[in-house]
Amino acid sequence: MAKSALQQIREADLHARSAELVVDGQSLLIGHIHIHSVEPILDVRMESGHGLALGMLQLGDDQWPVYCLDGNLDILGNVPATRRACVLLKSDHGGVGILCDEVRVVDNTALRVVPVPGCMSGRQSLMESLAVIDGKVTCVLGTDRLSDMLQSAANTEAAETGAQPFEEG
Amino acid sequence: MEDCKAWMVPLRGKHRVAVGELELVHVLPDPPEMFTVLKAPRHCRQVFLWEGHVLPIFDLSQWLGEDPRSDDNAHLGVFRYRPGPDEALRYGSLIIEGAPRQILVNDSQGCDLPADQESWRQVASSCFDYGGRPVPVLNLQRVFDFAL
Repeated sequence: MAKSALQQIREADLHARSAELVVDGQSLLIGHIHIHSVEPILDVRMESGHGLALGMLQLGDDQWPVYCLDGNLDILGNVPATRRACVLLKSDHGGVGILCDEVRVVDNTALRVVPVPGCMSGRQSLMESLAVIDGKVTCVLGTDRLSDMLQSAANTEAAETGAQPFEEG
Repeated sequence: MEDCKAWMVPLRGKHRVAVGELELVHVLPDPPEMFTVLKAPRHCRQVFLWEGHVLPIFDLSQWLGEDPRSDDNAHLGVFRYRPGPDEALRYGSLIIEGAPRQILVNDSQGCDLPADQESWRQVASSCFDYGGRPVPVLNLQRVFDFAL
């Protein structure tokens, strides 16, 4: 079925912008197309029992596991006082919520995207590219890779502790 | 036997490597502003902007097993290489220690790679003897284009 004009405009808009997430002073870019919504941290139900997720966020009928990462993208077991927003990220493997300090909208025309140098990529790499903006270089996060990393970490944790493995929204 | 020009590049930990005469393009007098690429390998976690290019900073000494450098006052050499005959030049940087020196080399100096570091086989295309010590010749494409 052909896309409606409104759908096409909406998709073009999604591709035209990125979100800049700031976590512990570290900036990360994510294409708008990968973002479901940004929610206040107060809406996150912090509770244990969800593996490495610190809590859940309910949106309609869907439950999104929420994770807290540090500026090196390592999973934290607590929430630093600077975290204010929860970004819900879509991926091929479901969705996750990530707590961050700030979220800003970036116009993609202000970006120059370049590949991650081959020597910096590898199995652990979470970046799908780099972006130059205002004379600075920022990482562009791959949401599928982030989701894989969380899943892998959760499965390792579950194997070690017998806890509940990864769950997705 | 014909001599050719090369650059001898000193690295931390008394390592030294050689590159072709045209492969070393710049030695930065001061450390540039560096940006961290999260979850990148420890020996190659930062990039910087140089003439519009985003260049990886590769610490070959750390990759060879030396301790990580303790500060951000790295001296950087900018290198260029061409991945294939019809491909555009690419650039990368190595952390160096001291000024590179231009030398003359010929085929009679060919020797085996340093025996104490098997890792050299991954990044060196050949080796020559200089002053009684082996000097690996870097394959820059292997250094900068592949995850080691």
